[in-house]
Amino acid sequence: MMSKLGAWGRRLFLLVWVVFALLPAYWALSTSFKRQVDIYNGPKMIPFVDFTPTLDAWQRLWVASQSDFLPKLLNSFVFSAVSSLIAVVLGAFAAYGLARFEYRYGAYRNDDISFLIVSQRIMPPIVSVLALYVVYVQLRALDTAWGMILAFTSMNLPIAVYLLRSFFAAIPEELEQAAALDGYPAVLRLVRVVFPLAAPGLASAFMLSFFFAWNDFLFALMLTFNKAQTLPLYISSLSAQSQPEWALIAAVGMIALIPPVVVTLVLDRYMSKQVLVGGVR
Amino acid sequence: MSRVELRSVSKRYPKADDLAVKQISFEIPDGELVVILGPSGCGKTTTLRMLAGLEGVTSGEILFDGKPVQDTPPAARNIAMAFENYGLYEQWDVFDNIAYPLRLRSVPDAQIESSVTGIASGLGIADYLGQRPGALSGGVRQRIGLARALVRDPSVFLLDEPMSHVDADGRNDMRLEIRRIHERTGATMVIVTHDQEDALMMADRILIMNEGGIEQYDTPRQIYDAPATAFVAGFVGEPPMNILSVSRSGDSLDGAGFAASIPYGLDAALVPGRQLVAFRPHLTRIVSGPAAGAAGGLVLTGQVYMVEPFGERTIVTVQVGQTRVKVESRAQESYDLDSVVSLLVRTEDLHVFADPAGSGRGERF
Amino acid sequence: MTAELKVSELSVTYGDVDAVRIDELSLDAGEFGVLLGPSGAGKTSSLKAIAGLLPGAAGAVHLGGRDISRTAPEERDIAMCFESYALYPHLTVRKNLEFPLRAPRRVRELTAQERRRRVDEVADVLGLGQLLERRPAQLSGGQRQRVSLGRALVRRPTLLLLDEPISHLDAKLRNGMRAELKRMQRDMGVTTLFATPDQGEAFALGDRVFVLDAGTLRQVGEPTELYLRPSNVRVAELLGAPRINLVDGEVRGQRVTVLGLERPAEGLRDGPVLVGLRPADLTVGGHRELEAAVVAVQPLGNAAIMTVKVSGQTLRVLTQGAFDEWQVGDTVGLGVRSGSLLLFDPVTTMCVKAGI
Repeated sequence: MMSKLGAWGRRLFLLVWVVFALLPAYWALSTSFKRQVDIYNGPKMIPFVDFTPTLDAWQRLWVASQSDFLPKLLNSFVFSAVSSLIAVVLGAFAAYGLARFEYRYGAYRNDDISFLIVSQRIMPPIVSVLALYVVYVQLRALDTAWGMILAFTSMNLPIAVYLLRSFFAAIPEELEQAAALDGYPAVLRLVRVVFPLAAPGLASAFMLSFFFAWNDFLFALMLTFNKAQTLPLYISSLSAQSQPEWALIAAVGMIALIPPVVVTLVLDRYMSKQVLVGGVR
Repeated sequence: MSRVELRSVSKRYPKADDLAVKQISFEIPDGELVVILGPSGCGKTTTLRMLAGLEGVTSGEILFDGKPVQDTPPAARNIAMAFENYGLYEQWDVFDNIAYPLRLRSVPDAQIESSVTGIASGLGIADYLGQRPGALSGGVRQRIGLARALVRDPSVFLLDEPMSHVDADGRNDMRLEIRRIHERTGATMVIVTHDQEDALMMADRILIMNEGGIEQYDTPRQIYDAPATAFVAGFVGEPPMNILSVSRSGDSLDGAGFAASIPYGLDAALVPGRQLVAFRPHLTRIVSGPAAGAAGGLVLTGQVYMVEPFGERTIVTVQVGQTRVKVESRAQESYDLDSVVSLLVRTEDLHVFADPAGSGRGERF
Repeated sequence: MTAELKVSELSVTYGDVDAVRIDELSLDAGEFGVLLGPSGAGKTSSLKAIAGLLPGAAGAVHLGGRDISRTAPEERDIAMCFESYALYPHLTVRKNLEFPLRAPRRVRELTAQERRRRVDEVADVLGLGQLLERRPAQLSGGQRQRVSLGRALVRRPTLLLLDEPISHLDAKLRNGMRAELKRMQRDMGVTTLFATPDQGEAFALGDRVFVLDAGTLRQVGEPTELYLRPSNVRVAELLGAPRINLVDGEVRGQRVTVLGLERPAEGLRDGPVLVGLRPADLTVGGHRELEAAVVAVQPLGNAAIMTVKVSGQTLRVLTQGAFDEWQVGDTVGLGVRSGSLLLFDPVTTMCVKAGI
């Protein structure tokens, strides 16, 4: 079909698609500059034409920031980043083991262990979070940073292992054998040869974990009530009023977009598919 | 059965700086087996794929029996193709794989049975008919692909490196078998390969390609005895021809680090300036004693670089100046490394080519 | 600093299957050994076992008198060129070549300056000078093979293992690299074991050839020795191209009869015997001992492979000379070079007489 459209047809198609994809973001951005009146009398699209833009919401956000907004933003970021890091590091070692060694625990082999790990994610989070709540009460982990990080790590670890196992398996074993003969002991081989070649996998696993944690609402809802609250909770609290301040919510939403985008941009350079080319025949 | 013709066919890949195939024209008479031979990247596979219709033609025409087919989709061209990477159906056993093209055309079962078993025994894979391709070796899988292409009765057979994964012994047998099948069906066949032995053994005619163009299109005998260009000379033959870059100055030929007097009778073939002199290793003799220049040939002096004794022959590599010259003989010979020897090539065994580059080609691979 | 290799009782097991069982494999210091065998024979497994890369391997390996059977591969001072080259794709050629020199156990041996010089030296010998800043993905097959070799040589190993290093290069490259490899090994004097399925390479390169088939050594010796006096049928089949012809014959009264030909066979008992005739030892157009019907002619340049039928048996002949002197259907007279017959016991496959 694409070939029938011709070059200009293709461009038009893509343009429509891009507009479609970015419209929500644009909508939120423009909404953050609207007065309440304009929001209710919508839909208004273009500033200075449809509506008069104002910095009102942004100013209020700035005022609310120190006490309310910034701590939650910081929580979200720290919890997501740290838990992703732990998940990827621990997951990498587990995945490497599953990719390279042959385990046998009774009837359980590698694929069984792998499935056991992945199956943790098959259960809907709403089921597990209730159990987690009870446990956290006992451990006094509710509303703590380490409690949230632990929860996010446990949520992300299965994905990291699953993803990384196939990346490690794709690295030819002969590269490690060559490094061994070149004189490198096991850990150094991992660091100097395997990890650089698994960079796309490590970056992907980190990004996926980060996004899951960043967007999480349920765990934050159930396992925090004050100090350890995250951004999604803040947004939700803003909209749980009779007359929600949509512009403010839109502004917060825009800020909430930034860290994931930054993470993606930073890790993008590791996402080359071509890392393994040229290594083996 | 089809006569195949290409007229000024070119191919440019998107975003490529130059043409993969540069305005080539050639004709294959009905029922001939032509081997397209060349190094990797020369355009031979691209040409085959254009014949099949798997690649579009950037410019030029392809004709089957006089009818242009360059815009006809592959399925409508009545061709059969065997790929280097097999393209087998993993979920079916070998018999079904080979039978598939026949089943598609509603050929009766009894005939399918005999055709498939016939082809399979011819290619040495009859024992595998009941198995799935998955567990079989590369060489066997390749032969299954070949069988599947050959079991039909198309106008043109196209084979893309059909034996690249088969070991030396099997290759000989397969070359014989492909020739037999060709004789039996009388079909036009085009085979692509980078192995010059394949070409010499199977082809009615060989089309030698290099960098998108045709170097020579001739019978194997002509290509071996009378190579048209230095490239052909250096590509066909095992070991390949020795090629020396020399320039004529007065009475002698000067090369990189050596000089030789011009043999009697060669004078007429030489031009002023640089050129290439080539000769086959098995027509080169190591002589001892006073230079046998009087015998009417090219005499070179050098040091023995390496001796490689094979069962049936010996190859001696001699360092002449900065070039290495190979000498092949049927006898079991041995020489001390670094000893000084003289080489003799008779004038009638010498080939002279113009050196287009104007500079000596350093033979560093 | 090179040393002699002594391998004994080497066995490699995968699951319950014995892939390799070698009683003994020895090389003198500086010797070029060739491990010859068809694909699947166990060549790669044998090399990797000697290098210590296979946990499932057992046996004793002594290098220069030192028992390294239980030493980790990092410590064995063995270098290996893998069939797949195994270059580090994320490093430049220079870094690839330097990699062994920066290993913890070696990094203090040379200064950064000396390392650089060593790499430049090796790159020079192998013609890699212009390619040092490229990545493996930007190199051709021949270039990658040379980087693989350079990486092995840069640290002057005690033992060099080469696993089909030139098998996947095109014919012209292969020819050139073969002579060069042999020359380099001679100049460097490092003990080398080279694995290949190509009998031509075994001939050209080996001081000593180890014929490996289905995991066991069939014969060990100089290539010419193995060619002229194979100890069993398998060795006769694996050396020499085209493959040797094997025909049924009979010994009676200390004479062997095969295809209507008779030769003396002293010291042999009466009974059936398998006769080996090498295609290159059957001559056409001269001495006429056998009547052969031409079945196929495959031209090869300055020779041809002729398939013929003699007394109902199919034989291959390697001719010397022009292409199309003979056509299918012709009858030609074949001679058998004297001293070229090999007799094998059909049951034990051992060679019972050579050189008739």
